[in-house]
Amino acid sequence: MSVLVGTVADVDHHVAPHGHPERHERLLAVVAGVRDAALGDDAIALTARPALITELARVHDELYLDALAQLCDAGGGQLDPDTATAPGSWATALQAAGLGIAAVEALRAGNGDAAFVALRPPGHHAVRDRAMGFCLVNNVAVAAASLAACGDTVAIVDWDVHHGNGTQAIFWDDPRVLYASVHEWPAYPGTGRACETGGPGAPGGTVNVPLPEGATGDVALRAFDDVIAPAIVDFAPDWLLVSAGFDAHRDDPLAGLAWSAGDYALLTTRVLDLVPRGRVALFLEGGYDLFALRRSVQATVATLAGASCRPEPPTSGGPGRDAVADAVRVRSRLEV
Amino acid sequence: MHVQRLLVAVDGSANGRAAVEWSAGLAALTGARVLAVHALGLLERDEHGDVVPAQPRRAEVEARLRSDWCAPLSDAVVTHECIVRDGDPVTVILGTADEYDVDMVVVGSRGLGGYPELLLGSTSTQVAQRSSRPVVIVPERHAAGA
Repeated sequence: MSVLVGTVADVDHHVAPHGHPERHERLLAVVAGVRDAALGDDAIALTARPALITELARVHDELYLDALAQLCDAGGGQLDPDTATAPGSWATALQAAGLGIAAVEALRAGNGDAAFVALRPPGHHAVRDRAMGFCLVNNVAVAAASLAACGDTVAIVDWDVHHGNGTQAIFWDDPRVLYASVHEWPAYPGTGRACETGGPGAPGGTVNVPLPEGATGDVALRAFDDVIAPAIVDFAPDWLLVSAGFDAHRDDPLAGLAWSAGDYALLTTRVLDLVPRGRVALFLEGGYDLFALRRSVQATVATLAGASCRPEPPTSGGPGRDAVADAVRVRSRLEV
Repeated sequence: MHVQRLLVAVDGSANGRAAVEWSAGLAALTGARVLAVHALGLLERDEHGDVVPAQPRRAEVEARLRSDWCAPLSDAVVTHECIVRDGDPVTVILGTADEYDVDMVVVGSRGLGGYPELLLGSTSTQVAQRSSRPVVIVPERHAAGA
């Protein structure tokens, strides 16, 4: 299978403050992971282009976008205790969001069987009118909204260790986009309980499976098989986008789940089974241990290409089955 | 206006301490119950000022909130409760204020997180703009009872 691969590493001017874990070196690790996957002719380079303001404005307030651009023009600064900007952050954010759109446009044109975009800053915490959690522009939401604007339906699977509060909020009441997340809880940003299931305009259009600290990959797969996959099958989307954070890895310093690179390979296999070939795109979100990130990306991208790649064996035996069962009960009570 | 319950945002900074001291003074006068809330983000600053992951320090943060950051409330023998919530400061402050239906929100003037100024609106500015409840913004140099 051919995989469209793109990165903003060469145009990344989003300079992180000293000691900040969301940094340029992450993209270098991801690029190394893609190289390790040894796709050969199955890898197709994707060219980035900056997103248009009209494309961002589908999911963000223009006043917020203007303020963010002006702030970066003025030299950048801190937006919240976690989130900072540099002079080049706005231009990089435009490139990142544009790369995501370019990926789905290339898939629509039939240029590949799947896509993986390595971008930063990440996006899934960014809400309509505010940056937060290292995120400035919600990249996966921008791409989903561009597809929805064409009349397509989209499922977003979010396997970042942190709940994607921004993506959930943006599509909370939108019947065109289903949002499904498996994440650690309690943890930042405090949202993502199983009982959060969507607004009146999209009941059941939000799916959350919060897992306890220490949950292993087998529990994540159960969450996927018992809750997320059935919801996506019912929704029958035209597209499946993945907020692919790799910070649920057991070595990640920011969180407490215990997955391995092998678990990401298995999750990727599950994702590929849910929609036709050429309708899956993965967007980098978190992942802050550089070696874990590299190995996890290697396993994920190789799996997208149809190869069997397990740089680390899958994990099992951690807690969380009760949490999955609770999410199943919540889902079964919905009349979707 | 009778203040029965107030929320004060706490982050361990000198600015946050001024807000706690002011809250302790008001509560001692009025008998109000104080809810001291800390928003646990992705990152914290450790005792050396270095940026470190926040989640692994949750227990330590909770302990410091109770024993150190809220000391002015204990010293004033004010009825209070200490809470750590996950999330960004603005969302946590406003959400907890609604959940507990407090009569007043107290924040330090220079924003949470130890940064001198947050852009696109400091935490205190954003809380004041978005809150449906009275908000008191306490400057750092304000001494308790002054």
